[in-house]
Amino acid sequence: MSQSIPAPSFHPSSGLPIGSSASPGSEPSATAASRPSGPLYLRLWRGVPRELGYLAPTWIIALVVFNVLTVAISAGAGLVFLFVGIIIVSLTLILARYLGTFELMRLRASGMPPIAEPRWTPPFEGKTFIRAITEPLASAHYWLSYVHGAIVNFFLAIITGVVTFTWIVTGLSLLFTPLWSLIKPNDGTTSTFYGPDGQIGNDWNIASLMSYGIWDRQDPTLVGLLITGLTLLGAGMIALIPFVTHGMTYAHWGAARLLLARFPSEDMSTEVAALAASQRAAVVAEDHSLRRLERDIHDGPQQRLMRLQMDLASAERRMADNPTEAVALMGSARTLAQETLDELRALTQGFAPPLLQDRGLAAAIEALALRSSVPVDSRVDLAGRQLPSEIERAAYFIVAELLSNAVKHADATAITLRVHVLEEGEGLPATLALEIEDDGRGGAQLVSGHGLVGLTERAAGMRGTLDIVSPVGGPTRVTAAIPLPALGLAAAPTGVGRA
Amino acid sequence: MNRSTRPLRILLAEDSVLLREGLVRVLTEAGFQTVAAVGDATRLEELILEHDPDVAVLDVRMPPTFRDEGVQAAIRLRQLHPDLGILLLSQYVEATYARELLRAGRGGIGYLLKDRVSSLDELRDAIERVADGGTALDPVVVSELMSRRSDPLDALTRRESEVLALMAQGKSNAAIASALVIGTGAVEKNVTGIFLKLGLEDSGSEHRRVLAVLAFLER
Repeated sequence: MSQSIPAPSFHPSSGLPIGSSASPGSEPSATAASRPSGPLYLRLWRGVPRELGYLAPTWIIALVVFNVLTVAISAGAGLVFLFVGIIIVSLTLILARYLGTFELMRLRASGMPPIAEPRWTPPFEGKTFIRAITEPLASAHYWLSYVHGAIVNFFLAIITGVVTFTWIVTGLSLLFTPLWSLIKPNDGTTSTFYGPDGQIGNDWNIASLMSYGIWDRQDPTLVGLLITGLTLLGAGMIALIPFVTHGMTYAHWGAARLLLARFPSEDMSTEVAALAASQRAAVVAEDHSLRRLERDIHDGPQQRLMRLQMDLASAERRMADNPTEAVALMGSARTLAQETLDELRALTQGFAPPLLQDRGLAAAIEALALRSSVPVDSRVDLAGRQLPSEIERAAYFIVAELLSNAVKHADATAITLRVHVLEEGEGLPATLALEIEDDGRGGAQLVSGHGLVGLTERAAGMRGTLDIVSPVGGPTRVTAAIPLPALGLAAAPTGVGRA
Repeated sequence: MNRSTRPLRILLAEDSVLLREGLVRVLTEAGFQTVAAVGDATRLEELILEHDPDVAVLDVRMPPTFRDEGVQAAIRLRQLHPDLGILLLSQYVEATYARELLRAGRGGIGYLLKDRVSSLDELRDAIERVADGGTALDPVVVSELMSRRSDPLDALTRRESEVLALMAQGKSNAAIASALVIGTGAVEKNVTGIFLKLGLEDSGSEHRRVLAVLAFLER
């Protein structure tokens, strides 16, 4: 054990392990199994300044908040039968709300995880006087903020303040009292340390009180043992400071989480709203593309097939009396058939690219990049994931459109394309990220009816986002993120080829 | 080789009954013998052992997954039967598949749009070339391959790039000459110019030339 203690320095006569636990960073490794391992312990220590920065002013703040809120609510309650009392209560609640927000900010600054606030609306803006007054009174969130500020946090602050303060002060004094007796200028007596001559009374209060009986027996070994034990206790308390500050901050965080946070149902209604918007975007996008498809089929293949039918009918009629003309008509009919095929192929390519269907997104995007007339530096890494086909399709068309924009509108000479999967983390789902940058002339804008708006809709339909940064003069950088449904790594795509 | 004495034997795999029947008729008209016509790629190996065809004509999308069964089967067969000519017919052509097919082996390989079948001459020409160990690439694939390598190809004259395109499709010098309405001597001259400008080694035989050009294009 002593090997892990750097430069232990023992007092010659008492055997006090002065340097042993004074520096908490060098906690003996023997305790590693029973306590959090080194790195976590160090991390906890790194959090101590921020947590102390939170805890130290907390009891003053909590006291002030308690007084203000209590006085204000009492004043309001006393006058409640006059209308003005109601106003005062309402204003108190609004004050409690902002004090709650302030508390959440302080908690965030202490290094605790963020707590989502309720979806507050501005208290007065755009509201009638009556509404502004009654709304806080009818809102559970306002009342909970009040309960937090005026009751719960105040009592909690008393407890956490006392515990933190006592812990640190006791720990420090237990640890440093014997050190002090070492450093203290000698007042002339020959004995430098404790003993029956009375120095103990000056330098070691706790010990002198506790060991009064022992002292009476004048047993220096027992006194030494007691002092050693208390010093070790001090060192232990200092070593545990991170747990105390973290625990105390955590207690405040828990109270805030309980009283100042958004209700889960609010998140759900937000979710529902986002879903509805996304669904509408998807429906709009689908409607657009179906209309376009209908028009394309109507204007192209359908016309040609009708003409083909007419030509074939007249060829049939002329077969007997004018075979030469009939053959010529059939030749043109074949051309029409060929053109129809070409058009249909272009159309299917437009909504269901064969390579995408056959081989999936990575292969289809690589092929797009290869086909581009401007060199594309493309890197596609889907981390072995099999993406849902609707996401593949959306991603494919976003990439295709952006590549063709870069070539057609931006006069780019080099394009960088990155497609990869960001694994889930920090409460975010796994995401398919697309990044396309070109060195063209920039100035791309989201103008209604422009292709980029369609892309934004496409991304929104997948609950994703699309961002364009395109200063005039370039470069243009477009990033899109499409959240992936939560599921583990799907079986690696087995290539479509099977024996 | 007794090919001059008997018609080329064709194995056909095409899942659409409509097209399968049409293809059998066209193949017969073109003077070939269809030894077997099936609707998927699962039993090709057996059928090849059983019928010993000269050329396998395969659709790309077939059961069970309707994706790229034909391409996978072609790649497999090229390794198993280097002497078998393989012609893939498809509703669409992908340069990606062309690249994979060319890389998979050295025997005769063709990859054409199904539309080309409407021209009897074109189909007969392609099948004969493939049976002979040559290549038959659809013009769409070739132009896609060529558009990618625009830098070095810019150095070519217009005539030279026309010749290059036809050569990449797998056409013989004679066929190129008649397609462009020029003499075979002029074709030879252009081919020499192309190989010089692209820094390729002229290996003499027409098949090997085509492979060199394709290797250059898909690089």
